[in-house]
Amino acid sequence: MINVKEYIESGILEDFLSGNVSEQERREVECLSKIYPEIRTELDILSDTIERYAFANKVTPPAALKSKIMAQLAFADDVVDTKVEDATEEEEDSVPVLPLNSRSNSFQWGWVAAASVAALIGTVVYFNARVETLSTTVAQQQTEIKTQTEQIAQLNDANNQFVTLKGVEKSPNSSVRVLWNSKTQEVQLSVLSLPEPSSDKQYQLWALVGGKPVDLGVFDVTTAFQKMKTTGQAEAFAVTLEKKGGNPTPHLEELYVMGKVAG
Amino acid sequence: MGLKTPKLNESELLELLRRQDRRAFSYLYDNYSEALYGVVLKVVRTEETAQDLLQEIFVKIWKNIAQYDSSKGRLFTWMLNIARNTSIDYLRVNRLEIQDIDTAVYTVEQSQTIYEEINSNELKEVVSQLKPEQQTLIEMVYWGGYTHEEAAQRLDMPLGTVKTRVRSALRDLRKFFGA
Repeated sequence: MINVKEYIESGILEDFLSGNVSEQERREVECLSKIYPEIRTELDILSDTIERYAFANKVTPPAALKSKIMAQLAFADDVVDTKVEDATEEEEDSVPVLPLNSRSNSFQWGWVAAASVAALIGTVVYFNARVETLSTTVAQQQTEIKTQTEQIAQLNDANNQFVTLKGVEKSPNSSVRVLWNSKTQEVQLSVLSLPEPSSDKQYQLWALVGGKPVDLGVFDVTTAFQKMKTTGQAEAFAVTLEKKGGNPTPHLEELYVMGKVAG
Repeated sequence: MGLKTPKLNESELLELLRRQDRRAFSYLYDNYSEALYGVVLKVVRTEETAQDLLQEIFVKIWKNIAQYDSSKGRLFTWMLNIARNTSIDYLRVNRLEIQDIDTAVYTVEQSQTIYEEINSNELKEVVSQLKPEQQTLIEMVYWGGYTHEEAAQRLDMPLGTVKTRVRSALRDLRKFFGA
């Protein structure tokens, strides 16, 4: 049993909210606030105070920022809407018109009906499958457009620079493109051409900083941009083939591509 | 998105956000972007950087919203944590310091917030009762993610003094707000 009043007055809750507590203290506060409603109330009041303080200092960001942010996010209606629309259109267009002979006798009529039903079922099955394929295609294309839009946005960012890593003796035709933002330090990579590695191996990206290789992570062979580890500095980038999961230091005899950062 | 969104309470908003609802995000942004932008602007030097960080913050909020647990604390507190961590990362990497408080003069515009009772002009008046030094301390520690040690070093104050003053600043602020 702790003395709740003393605990509150110790100032630990204020420190907890600013993150100035040890891992153990953090768990302690979280735990005690569940047990003692007084502690929870106190935490809520303090949070509310900080929140109000933030609202007192609010500044309106430029209006364009909102759409810039929203363009980066995937919303539920992005794909679903299109799927529903496409499906209805396809179905309406594709219902087959089957001519019937009005003067046929009952025997023939039965066959025609059976055939029609069979044809109808076949058509429905076929078109359902097609609608599904189409929806998948639409979804894929949307993902592609999104990726491309993102890439275009990256091109427009003055802090971004592309570094093309060219193949060395081992694999002269290989090349990899690295996109590096020296400000956000983000590193992305797209494989233009690299031999498919054996299943126990993976390619690994390195940044050369002060002449020393710094691990930027392993990646798969795909043209889509993959996020790598960040780096604030790089004189050059290089890719080596390492064991699956990567190595702490590169095997230079397995160097595939390399490129110097301009400037 | 030009449609006027009906007012949502926090749990409705969260439910919609978890379903990746576009309008819910729009609503969240409209209600919190100004407060978070104000926070970030105080921490980094330029508007351009603050805008980049605000972008990063909202993308993180969006991606991690499922991890927010309302039983552990308020939504804004959680978002402020994300903002603070994003700023800390930025500052550490760029070895920058929080900007001096007197160089950060920005217009505060009034607008509707999720908490209807919060009127930003009133709030501003309340906050102005706080000493500039107390404001700096709250902003450094709660917004900029400065540790007590870093704040002590930066403000050339003994560590114990920083600890006491941060707490008393928050206590004063709380008193002014009448909470």
